[in-house]
Amino acid sequence: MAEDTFDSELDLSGEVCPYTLVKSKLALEDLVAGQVLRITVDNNESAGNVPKGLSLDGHEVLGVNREGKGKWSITVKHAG
Amino acid sequence: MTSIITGLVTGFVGGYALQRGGFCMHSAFRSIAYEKDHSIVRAWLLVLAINIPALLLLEQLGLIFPARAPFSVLAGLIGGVVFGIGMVLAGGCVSGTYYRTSKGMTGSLVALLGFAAGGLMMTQGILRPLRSWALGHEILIAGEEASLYNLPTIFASGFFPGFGLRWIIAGVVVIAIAIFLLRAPKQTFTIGWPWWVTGIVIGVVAIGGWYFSSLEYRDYGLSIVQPTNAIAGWLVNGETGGINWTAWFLIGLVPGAFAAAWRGGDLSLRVPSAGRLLQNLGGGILMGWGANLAGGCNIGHGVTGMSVLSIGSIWATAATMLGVWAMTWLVFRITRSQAGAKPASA
Repeated sequence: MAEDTFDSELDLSGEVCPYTLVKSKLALEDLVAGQVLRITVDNNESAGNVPKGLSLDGHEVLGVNREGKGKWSITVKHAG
Repeated sequence: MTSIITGLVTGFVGGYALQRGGFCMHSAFRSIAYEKDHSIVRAWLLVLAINIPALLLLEQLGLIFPARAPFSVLAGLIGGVVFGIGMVLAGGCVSGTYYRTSKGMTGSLVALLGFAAGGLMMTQGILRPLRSWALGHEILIAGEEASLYNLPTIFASGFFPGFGLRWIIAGVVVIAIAIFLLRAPKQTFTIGWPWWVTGIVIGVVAIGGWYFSSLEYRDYGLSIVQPTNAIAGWLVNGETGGINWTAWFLIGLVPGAFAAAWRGGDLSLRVPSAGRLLQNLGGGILMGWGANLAGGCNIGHGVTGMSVLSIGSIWATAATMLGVWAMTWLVFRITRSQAGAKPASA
């Protein structure tokens, strides 16, 4: 359920590492604890690296979903 | 003919493994300094831990006769740093650029074209004198290419380490790597292969590179720079002199990576913004200059050369990491200041 509602959205299609992780971190900095960010990436490496990196930073990754061909969405909750 | 078949098959397996394992050494190098997840570093170190003893054994059995890349302080340092900077701008290492091109990422294709052009400039074009000068300053140990194996000769002149001492040196390096690998945390959010599967498969492919190359009297293992130059030179000049096993490996790698992307559902044409494409092109050219000045890339030095404990390769790989870290730091700063300049979007 939590995966469907989010406070902010970030489309990173066309971006690769390190931009995907850097921009995700910056977007999370704009949020407060408990708020949810939904990130879209277009390659499976970023779909693995971004949640991994954010999770190790202490944020709660709510889900990683394959939306379609070359499209993934990651929902993450700011841990504060 | 055998060379073509073994090259294409090994390349296919290698390309499949690079893609499924997400074996991007640019990400690995960056993660050492900036990230908490070190899965790809572990995959890379596992490749080395498998290759170091395997190659020493093959050498002792007289099946391969490993050459080492020349150790030139300036060429390795400048080439490595430029190569590292280029990798960040190109969005991947050389092997990474090949497997990403194979899954439809046009940014990587543009970087690859830049890499080939940069390579031709450094090896056959206007930058050739720079390369000749830098490579002219090679440091040898007792008349041999420098490696950790013949390093003891510096401390005891006239003493040449036999296989007994070589095994001890290899053992120390492998045990140090093994301790690090055994302390690995559980890998999370894995898409594709876990790090250890990737490490084992690429490790076996790399051993194959040495063995099959040796069959055609080439005393080196996997390389991406050399066959890229050979294929680019063939397309531009029509010369086929440089086409060897590694060229067939590289040609096999592309469909292997394509098949893995297709199986993994990650095959689609992706086009970044024009600005990002230009950045990828510039990064690719810098990679071509740097790798050809340093005498190898993340594969030729970072995997093949380091597996025979070549000091030139360790030096160039360290310089590459330095370039990656410096450029990543700059990218962090620039992205942050750009984000700060815009009104908050959330």
